[in-house]
Amino acid sequence: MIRQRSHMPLFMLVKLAWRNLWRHRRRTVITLSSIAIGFGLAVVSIGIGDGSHNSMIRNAIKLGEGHLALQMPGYLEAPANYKYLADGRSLQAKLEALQIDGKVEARISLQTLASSANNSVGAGLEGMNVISDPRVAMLRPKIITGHWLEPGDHRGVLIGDGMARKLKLKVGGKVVLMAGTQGGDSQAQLGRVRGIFDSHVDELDDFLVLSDIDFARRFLTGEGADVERLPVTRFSLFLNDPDSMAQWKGVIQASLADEEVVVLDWHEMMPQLVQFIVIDDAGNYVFLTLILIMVVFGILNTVLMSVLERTREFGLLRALGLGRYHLLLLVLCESVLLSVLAVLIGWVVGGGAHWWISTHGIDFSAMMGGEMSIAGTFMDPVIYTELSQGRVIQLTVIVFAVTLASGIYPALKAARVAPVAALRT
Amino acid sequence: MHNLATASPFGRLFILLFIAWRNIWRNPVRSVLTIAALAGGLIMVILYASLLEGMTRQMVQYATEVSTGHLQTHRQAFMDDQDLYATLPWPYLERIERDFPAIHIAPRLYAAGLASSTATSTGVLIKAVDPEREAEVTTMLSHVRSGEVNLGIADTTATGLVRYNVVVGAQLAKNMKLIPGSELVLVTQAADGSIGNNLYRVAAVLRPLEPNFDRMGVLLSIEAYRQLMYLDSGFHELAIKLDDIDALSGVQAALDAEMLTLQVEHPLDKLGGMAVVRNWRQLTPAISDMLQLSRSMLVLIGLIVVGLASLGMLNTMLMAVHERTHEFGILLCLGMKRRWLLLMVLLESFFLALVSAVVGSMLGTLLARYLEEHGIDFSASMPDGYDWAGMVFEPVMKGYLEPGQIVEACLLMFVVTFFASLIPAWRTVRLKPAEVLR
Amino acid sequence: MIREFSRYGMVWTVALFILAAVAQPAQAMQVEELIHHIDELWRGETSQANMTMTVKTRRYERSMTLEAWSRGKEYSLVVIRDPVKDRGIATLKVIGNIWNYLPKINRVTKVPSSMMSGSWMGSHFTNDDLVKESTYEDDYNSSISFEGERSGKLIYEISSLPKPDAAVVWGKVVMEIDQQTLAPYHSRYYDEEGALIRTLSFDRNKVIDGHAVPMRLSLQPEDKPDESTVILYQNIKFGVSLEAGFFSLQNLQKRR
Repeated sequence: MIRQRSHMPLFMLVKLAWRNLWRHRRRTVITLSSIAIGFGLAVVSIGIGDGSHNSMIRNAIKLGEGHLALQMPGYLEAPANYKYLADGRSLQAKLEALQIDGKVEARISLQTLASSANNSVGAGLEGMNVISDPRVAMLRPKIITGHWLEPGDHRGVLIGDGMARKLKLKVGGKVVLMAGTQGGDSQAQLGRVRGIFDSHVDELDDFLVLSDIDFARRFLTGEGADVERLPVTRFSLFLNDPDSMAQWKGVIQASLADEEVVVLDWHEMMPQLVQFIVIDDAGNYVFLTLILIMVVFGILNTVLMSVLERTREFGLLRALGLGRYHLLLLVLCESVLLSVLAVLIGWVVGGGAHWWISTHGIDFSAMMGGEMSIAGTFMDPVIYTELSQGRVIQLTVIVFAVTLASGIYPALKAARVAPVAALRT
Repeated sequence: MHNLATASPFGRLFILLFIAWRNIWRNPVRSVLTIAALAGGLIMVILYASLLEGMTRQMVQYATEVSTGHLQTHRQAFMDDQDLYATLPWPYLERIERDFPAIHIAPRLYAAGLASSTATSTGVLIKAVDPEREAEVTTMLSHVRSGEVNLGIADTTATGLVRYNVVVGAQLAKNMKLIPGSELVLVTQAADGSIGNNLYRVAAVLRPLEPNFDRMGVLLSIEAYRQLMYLDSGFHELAIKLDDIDALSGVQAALDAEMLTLQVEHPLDKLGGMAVVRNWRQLTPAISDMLQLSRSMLVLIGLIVVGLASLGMLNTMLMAVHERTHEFGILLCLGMKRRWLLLMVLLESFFLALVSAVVGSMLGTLLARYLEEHGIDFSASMPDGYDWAGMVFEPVMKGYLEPGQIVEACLLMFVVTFFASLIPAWRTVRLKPAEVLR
Repeated sequence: MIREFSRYGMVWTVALFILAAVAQPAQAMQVEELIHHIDELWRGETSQANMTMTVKTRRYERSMTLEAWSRGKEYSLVVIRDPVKDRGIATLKVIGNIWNYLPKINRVTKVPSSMMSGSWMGSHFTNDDLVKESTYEDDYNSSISFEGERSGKLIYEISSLPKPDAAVVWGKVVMEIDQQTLAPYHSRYYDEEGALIRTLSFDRNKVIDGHAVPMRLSLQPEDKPDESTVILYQNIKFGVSLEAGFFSLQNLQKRR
């Protein structure tokens, strides 16, 4: 027998594979649709996961100390009133010189005792810019009586409803804030309640007192600071592009290398949030794995069945001189085409769903009973899907690889067809 | 066909069953693949359900075993203000222990005080426990970072003052620079109004478990507490653990009744309020809410998983039937009534589903058992476990299998395959033999 | 923290104010002079006293015998003599700081500012009362709201309203003092809505160094009518000589 190696150019291979796919149109369509739907669901679930996490992070950052914070070394481990940045003015000038793409907010945090005629409780006093600070947007809507602070109000404070109850205070009432200094003396300032808020977060409602930064600064004066240098406890930085955080952190650290400050990012400031997200992500990955397994099943079923049914046909092709290798390639090509189509359609389905949900959002408030506080921050009841570039690539590559891999076994099987035996079937 | 036409309805059914069964095995490879796909989907659903259940139980366990217990009881005034004098009398403890032999109970006492070490002084939360009883209810005393847990008498000073051992939280130890062996001074407002004060030795430092205790917690024995606070009237809190968590609501109701009885026999003073029994959900509503939310989301995802599995089954069934239109055309020509054809197709689906159910259930059970024992191990990426909703979890996801889940999953599969087979079956009913024979 | 203890603000300091104030003979005075006089009198005056303090709360009733020394309002040392269980427990106040000496464990602990609202020695007075630096002159606008006879005595009634920026929780403090001797009869503390929060009463006047000094102080919270803290002086001496290092931590431990 003349052993001729039949040569098939790639183009023809592809065309043949394509035609093979569509010979059993219904089967191919059904397989494609199930892969596509599975993929679409994966896209949506990952999108929801990312969307909800990012919303939590955004809220936490807005409510907390921003993406990056500048404060005294040792403050994070053991906060104390006397650990303040003495020369806020020059630090702020340096930060502004860097032209950071975002907001720089000065803040003062103090541990105090809040007293009324009736009672006393420990309180955390937060002095900030009452107009521009991102906290304003988070907490202003939570005011239940009274009103937010006006700029230049050097006596006004805002307290939570938990504290108002404990101290039996109403809007307009007097609250004396007292703080011990490092020297051991204590200093007291009078505050007037301008408004009471209810955030549904106990730590805030029971312990937080908000004021204009100049009010809080008086306590730092008592600690020995020079008010002219605008001392602060920290600078909180809110970046417009969260992904630029690492880059800006490096820049700021470099330019402030000789100052006695540390630059911290929100991972370091809010480790419990980081962990919550890691865990939630883990759950998502388990789900993704399940989906992929289903996809594999679907493809394996289709391609394997089609190979097994074409044993005779393959036998014929082999008898006609088509090499094993080319046969393998042929079947593999069918898998590749199937994968490509599936991913494309999957993206149409998933992408469409993502587009719709990212615009309209899914309202989870029925499940959550209003806004919920988790891991120290809020989760909005309406969640929008978010897909970053990285995710898109990740999903595409994974599904493509998986569908391709499931095509290997059938391809091998096809290649092993023995022409004579096959023709007998 | 003649047999079929002349047989009685019951006989006809029997023949069709036989035919359907044989039909399946005419193309063994395809059938095996189909069964594999169906069984695979079933296994997915079983595994997912068991993971969901297992994780929920794990969370409940962690939420309760560290320090909360399944149930707790307090006086109302203690719940509202931490009123030092709102105690439950010791006789209540003895009665409950006698009347509820199947549960484990641990009494606790609390006080606020000032702790001084050589480095600094700070406000602390003093918690008194009975070490033996506590070990039966919570794992708090076993999470040691350094030193050895001992709440007994440490030593006697030169002046004849007896020092007890105490255990402190990790953050507190760090702030006050305490290590095992350090001296600690506690100063409090005692129950009789005097200044309670005493010297203690730090025996151990606990790992971070509960943020509050970690930052300002000092653990004493009840004996040491009574010597400091002069409070002998009773205890503030009773933590209760059940062996079978599913009996929770029953036990809570029984305890409520017991409390009412006790308060009639040994009336309590009015100022402290009534005794109240609460379960862990009521004690830590934040955690309960989180679990509820997680469960809802997981169920949502579970539905998606089931949907996907069903889709896989539908896909399989559709393909299996579509390829036999030629054959069906012949059968119709041979005189088979359409409705028998329909029944045959449905029966084939049924048999496929049946075999898949058996195979899937067996494999599913095996795998779920494995998950129960070993779980999915994340400890590579999170060696210290993770901190969620104020608790620290181990990095292993375990499953929990309930037989009911398997039955439900099988039922689901049968329903889905039934509907899936209806589509091709309907198509066969509409077949025009002349067309397909071409 | 330590469970709720009502705040008694100026009470303790007022009590000691008034006690020192009566060392001066009275004349018809303008209110500003009166207030200034009271504030000034405080400075530099030393005293030594033995007293009994009886505290009655819903939960317990306790009686203690104390010995106390003071210089002005900035320095004081108080030692418990009785009951035996608490004998030797001492409190030292130096300007804004308070320390406790505990003889049983032979240790000195400093009271941090977060515990200032805690009660002093279990009474209705708080640590904060001992420490408060505010003065009538600086923090209040006072006026004589009534001059004349009440309950058979000729009194001045001085109403003091806190200045807008003063760090005091009260809305109003009203004192009744005898026109002749300037001995106080009552001080009443109101919140900003005009509700009476607590009353400090003075009686059992005794003549010491030629002046009428009330030997009994009673502190009565308005919302808990069955609770009170009563201080009964056995004897008081003014102008005692105290060595330079008297108000110090070393002395705190030695004075048993």
